[in-house]
Amino acid sequence: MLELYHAPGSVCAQKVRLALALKALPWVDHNMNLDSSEQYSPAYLRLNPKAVVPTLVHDGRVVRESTVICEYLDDAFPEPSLKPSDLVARAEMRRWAKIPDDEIHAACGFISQAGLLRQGRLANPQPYYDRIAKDPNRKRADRNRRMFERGYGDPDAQWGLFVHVKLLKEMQATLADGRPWLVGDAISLADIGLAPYINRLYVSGLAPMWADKPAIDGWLKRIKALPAYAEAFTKYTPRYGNEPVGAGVWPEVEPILESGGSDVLT
Amino acid sequence: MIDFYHSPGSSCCVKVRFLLNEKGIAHREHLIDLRRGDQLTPEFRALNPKAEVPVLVHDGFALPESTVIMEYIEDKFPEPALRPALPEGRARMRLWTKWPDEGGHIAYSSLAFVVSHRHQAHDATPGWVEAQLAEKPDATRQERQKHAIDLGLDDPALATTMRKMDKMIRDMQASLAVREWLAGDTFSLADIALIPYIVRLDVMTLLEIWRADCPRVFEWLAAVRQRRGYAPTYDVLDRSRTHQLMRENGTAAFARLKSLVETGA
Repeated sequence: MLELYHAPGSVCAQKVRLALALKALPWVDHNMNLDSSEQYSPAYLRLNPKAVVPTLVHDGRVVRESTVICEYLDDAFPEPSLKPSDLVARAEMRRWAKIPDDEIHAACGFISQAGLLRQGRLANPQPYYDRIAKDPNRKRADRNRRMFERGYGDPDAQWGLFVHVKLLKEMQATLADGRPWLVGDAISLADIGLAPYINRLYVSGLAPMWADKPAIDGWLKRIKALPAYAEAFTKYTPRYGNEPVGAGVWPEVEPILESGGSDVLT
Repeated sequence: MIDFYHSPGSSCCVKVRFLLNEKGIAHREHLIDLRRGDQLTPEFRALNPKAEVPVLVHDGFALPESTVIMEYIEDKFPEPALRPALPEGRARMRLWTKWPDEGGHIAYSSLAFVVSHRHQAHDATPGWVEAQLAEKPDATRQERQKHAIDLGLDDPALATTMRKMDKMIRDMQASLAVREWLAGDTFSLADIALIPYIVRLDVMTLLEIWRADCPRVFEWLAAVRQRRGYAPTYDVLDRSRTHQLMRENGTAAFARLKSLVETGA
């Protein structure tokens, strides 16, 4: 039996749900309410001491960290394979799959705090200020308050944007030869690892970031056309399903991107 | 044919060399002198645009990133297997191989720098500080390095670094208390991923901080030193002036770092 502890809007959870859906594996749904701090309950901390989602439990065996979970699923349930059979392509796949863990995940967090999540909180900010006040990690709390107050004007949020610019360039360069997926002939853990992040940009109203990169647009459309996408994304966040809820932010973001980012990225 | 581009002191390079030696895979070594800037030449950048070591070139395919290289070697040369056979063991292994990539390596290298490498500034030519900073890939790490050069053992970031080391060693102890090696009953990439860091903490004498609390880590290190991959990877390094300086400088910093761990715990 597979059980998944997850949260609807978590990018790491989206990644694992997408892998599960592509393999058509049934799983028991433990939907965590992060706003009411369910992740800090003693029961969950035993499964996941870092108090993050997702956690997979397979016949009692606990597997943590989304990238590791995805490899685990492909090892434990090899068909349909989510890894290229060619070993050189497989190494390329692992380079892509590492990108979220190295840098993009942090960058995505900053963008989401300064953009999508902030927009949802602006009308009634007090509960969010209360939550920040309770955060035991003061450094994170201060950064979140700053990003809530300054939005995309915050330097961390801008760093986040430029890290994504770099990734989009790499993806475009790879996809430019007309291949449908990042590595090999079929969707792999490379695409699965990055789909939630590019989707988050789209939902945040930042799709104009790849207006000059048609291959990325095509790639994202292919992802969104998969039945597994509806299963892994839309089902859990219907509000973010297909429309960019952050539409309207582009006039604010465009001048930031035009500055080139040379002062935040080297 | 395998060509391996590396810098002997680099922990990420040591992982891959240990693996190649452990499996007995023949390879040609190409030394990249980071101080001299070999990594910035057009020839090397053609292999890795990010100008980082190591790079493995196998039948014309150039692959950077030590963790990805190790999995590739396992895929291409499956025997003797250094990945656990079962999915659960592999997942355990991959949690360990992620440690250096997700902050562990940076934390260790800032420690080694503050304790030892920065002292090499004294016998270096003018421009050494600038060269040190230029080696770092981004502005954040350059700034961190600048603090480390200026403040040494008084750098406030050191407390966080020692907390990370403390957690890693205690996590190792907890795992090794229930199994022979980090990912299971057999030696694997999980062990190899941690070897360079534990060996160097030992070279700096700092591992002694955990002697009483983490005895299994010491047994593990003794067993690692018996592995086939150890001698060819470390023989020259263990006799090097770098390791000798690390031992002297680590001994001098020991009391201060031990108290940081004790107050942080």
